[in-house]
Amino acid sequence: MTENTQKQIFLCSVAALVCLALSSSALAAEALVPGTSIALDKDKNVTARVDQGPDGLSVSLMAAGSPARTIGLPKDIGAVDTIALVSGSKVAVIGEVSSSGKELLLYNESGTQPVDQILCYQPAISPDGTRVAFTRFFPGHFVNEQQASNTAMLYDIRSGAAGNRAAGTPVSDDQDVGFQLYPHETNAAPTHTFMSDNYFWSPDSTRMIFLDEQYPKPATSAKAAVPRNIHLPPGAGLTFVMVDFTSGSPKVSSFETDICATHTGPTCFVRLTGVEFGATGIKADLKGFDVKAAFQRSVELTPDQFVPLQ
Amino acid sequence: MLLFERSIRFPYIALALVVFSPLAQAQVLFTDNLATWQAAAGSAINTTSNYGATSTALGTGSVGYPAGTVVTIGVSWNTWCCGYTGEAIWTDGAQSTTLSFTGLGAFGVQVEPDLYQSESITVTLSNGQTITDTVNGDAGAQFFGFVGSGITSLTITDGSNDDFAFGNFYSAAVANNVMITSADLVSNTVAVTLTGDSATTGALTVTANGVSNMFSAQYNGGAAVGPGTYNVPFTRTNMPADVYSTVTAQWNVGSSPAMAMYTLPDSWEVRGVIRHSQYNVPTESSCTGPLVTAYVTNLSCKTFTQTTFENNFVRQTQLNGTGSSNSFGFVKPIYITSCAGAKKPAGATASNTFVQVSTITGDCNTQLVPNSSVATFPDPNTSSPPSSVCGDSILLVQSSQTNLAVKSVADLCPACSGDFRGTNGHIDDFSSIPSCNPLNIKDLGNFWTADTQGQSN
Repeated sequence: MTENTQKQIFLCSVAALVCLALSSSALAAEALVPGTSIALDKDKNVTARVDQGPDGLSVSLMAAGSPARTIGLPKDIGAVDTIALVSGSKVAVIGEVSSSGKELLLYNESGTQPVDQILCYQPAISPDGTRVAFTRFFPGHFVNEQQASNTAMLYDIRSGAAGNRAAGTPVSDDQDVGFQLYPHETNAAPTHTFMSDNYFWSPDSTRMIFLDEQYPKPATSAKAAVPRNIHLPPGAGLTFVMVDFTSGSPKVSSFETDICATHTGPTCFVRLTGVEFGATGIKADLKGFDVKAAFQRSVELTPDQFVPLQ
Repeated sequence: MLLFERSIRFPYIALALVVFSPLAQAQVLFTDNLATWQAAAGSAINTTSNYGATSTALGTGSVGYPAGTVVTIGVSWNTWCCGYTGEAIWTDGAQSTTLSFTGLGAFGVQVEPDLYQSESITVTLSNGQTITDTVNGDAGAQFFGFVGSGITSLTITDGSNDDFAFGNFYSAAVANNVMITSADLVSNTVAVTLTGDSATTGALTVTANGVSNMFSAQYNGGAAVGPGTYNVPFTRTNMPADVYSTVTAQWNVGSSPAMAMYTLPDSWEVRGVIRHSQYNVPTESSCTGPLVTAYVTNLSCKTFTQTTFENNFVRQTQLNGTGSSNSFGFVKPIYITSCAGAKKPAGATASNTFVQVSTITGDCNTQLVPNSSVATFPDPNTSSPPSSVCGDSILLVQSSQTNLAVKSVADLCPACSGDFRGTNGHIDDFSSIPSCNPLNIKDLGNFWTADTQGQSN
C-alpha cells in the first residue's frame, strides 16, 4: 500500500476491496466541508483542509516538518470533492464546476499554481495514483444526446500536461485533454451514456470497469428504431467495458450483457453502483433507480466474457 | 277534448329545447336521454302494461299519481314514439301532475302532449332539478328520468295549458353506487359520487393503483359518509415511486362494499423525492474580469466577427452551453452547433468561438421558459413513458402538500444520470437568475415529484 495515498484508500484501508467501490461514489456525492481537515496519507503525515474565503475556496496542505502551503482554487470551483496525493508527491484536487461538471487540478510538490487543469465528468483516480479515468467534458446544458454522448478518457499523471495532449494542443486547453479509451468509433452514432456511478478501478490499478448504454443498439441505424428504456430486449445496448493496464498500455474489451432479460417491469434502467474485483471473477452491483426503484441485483463477470475491441 | 281527435301519423323526431337547471344535489342524475339514464341506472326494468288508475307496481317498488285514465297506445291514444304500443296514463284535462315513488332509486317516464303540436313540457324533481323540453304531440313522446337517492316526487307540467299522457315506465331499485368522475394529481382531487338510500353510510377509501404499489386515502379520516359528492385528496408526498394507471374508490356499506375503478387518461409517473438543481444562461453584463478576444458567427457558419467578450463570460458559456452576450444576444460554443466543422479564421478556436442563436432552445427544440422548463435524463426527445418525454408536466409538491410548481419537460440533463444526493433522482430546473457564476445558482431543493404527462391544470 505504499502508493495508496489517496484519501479514499486511506479511509477504507480496513476493508479495501468493498470500501473502494463504495467510497468512490460516496465521495462523488458529497463535497468536503470547508473547515474540515482530512489526512492524505496513511500515517497522517500530510493533511489538507478546505477553507471558504471571500475570494473563493482554498486548500491548505500541511506536511510534518514543512511549512503549510495554501492553494487558492479557481473561482468557478464551488466545492471540493476530493484531495489526494498522486504519482508520488503531486496533489490532485477535484472540484465541482457547472452542473455536476468537475475540474481536476494537479499541483506539483511545491507551488500554488496548477500544473494542469482538466474539465471533465466523473474523474476517478487509480489507487496507485498514476492515472485518472474520466468522461470527456461537454457543456452541461442546451445539448442534445449526440452532443452529450459520453467518451471515456485517460490522463496519465506521470506524463505531465504536454504528454496528455495531442500535438499542437496548448497545455492551457482544459477540455481537449487526455486520450480516448472508449468508444473506438468516431462517428456520431450510436450515442453512449455511461450508466456507472464511477469508473471502478481494481485495487492494484491494473483494471478499470464501467457500464455503457448505447443508443441505438449497435448495427441499428434509425434513431428511433429501439425505444429506449422501455422493456429493453436482452442485451439492450448495455455493455460492460473493461480496460486492462497490465501490459502498460490500455487494452479495452467489452461484454454486452443481458442483465435486463429477466427484468419483468416496464423499465430496465440500470446503473453500475459498485464493483468487487476477486481472484477469479468480478462482482458487479447494479441498481434500477427510475420508477422501478426496487430493482437491485449483482452479477458475476469473468474476464473471458470480455471481447477485445478492435 | 276527445281522444279520437288524434290521428295516427308517422312519428318524427322532435327538435327538443333542453334546459338544464343547476344541479341542486350533484348526486342525482336527471336526464332526458334514455341511453344516458340506462347507463347510469344499470339493471333496470321497463313496465309497459298492467297500469293502475292511481298507481302502478314497478318490480319491488311502485309509482303513484293522481287519478288518470289508462290508455293503450295505438288503440285509445293515437301517437307516441318509437314504436311503443304499451299503456300510458292520460291526465284527462289536468295540465300538471305529480308522480311519487316507493322503493325506487331510479325512474324514467315518457310524456306526450294531447294536441298534435309542439308544447313546452317541464319536469321538476323533488330536489328542485328541472328540465324543460319542447315535446311534439304528434308522435314525439319524450323521455325524462332520474338516477339517485332522495327523490320523492316528479312533477310534469304542460306549459301550453294542454293535458298529456305519461307512460312507458323505466325503473330500478335503490342501489348503492360509486362513481369516480375525475382524478387529478395536480389539484390533488379524486371526485367521487356516492348514490344510494339516504340512510346508507360508510367509510370512503380511494386507492391509486401502481405497478408495484397501492396507495390509499380515506375521506375525512375514515368517517362514515352518506350519498353525495366528495373530493378525496392524497397525502402525495407519501406516495411511493411507481407508475399509477388507475384509481379505485370503495364505499364500505353493508356486506358488499360498492366499488368503482377509474382509468387515468395519463398515468401518474411518480418519482418520489427528487433533487431539483437549477441552471441558467450566464449573462455577460453580470460577469467581471478582463476582456478577451472571441469570434462570433451565425448559423450560416460563413462569416466570423472578431470581438471581445468578458473573460468569465467566455468560460461560463463554454461550461454551460449557452450565454447571453451584450452585443450578439444568445451565443453557443461553436463545437456543439452545426458549425462545429466550419473553417474558422486564424486565432479562432473551439474555446473562443461562438455561434449566434435567436432563442434559447433545449433538446426538445422548443424555447426554454425560465422557472418553468426542466431538463431530464434520459433524453426526453427519444424516450418513451414512463421516462419523461418532451412536453410532460412535472409536478413538484412540498411537504405541506401544497404545489411548488408544475413545470414542463423541455431539455436534456446529461448530468442527471447521477448526482442524486440521497434522493430518487435528479432534475435540472431552468432558472431566470441572471448570474455569470453558476455556483450562484443553488439547488431549488429536494421535492416529491411526479410526471403527470398531460395533466397540468
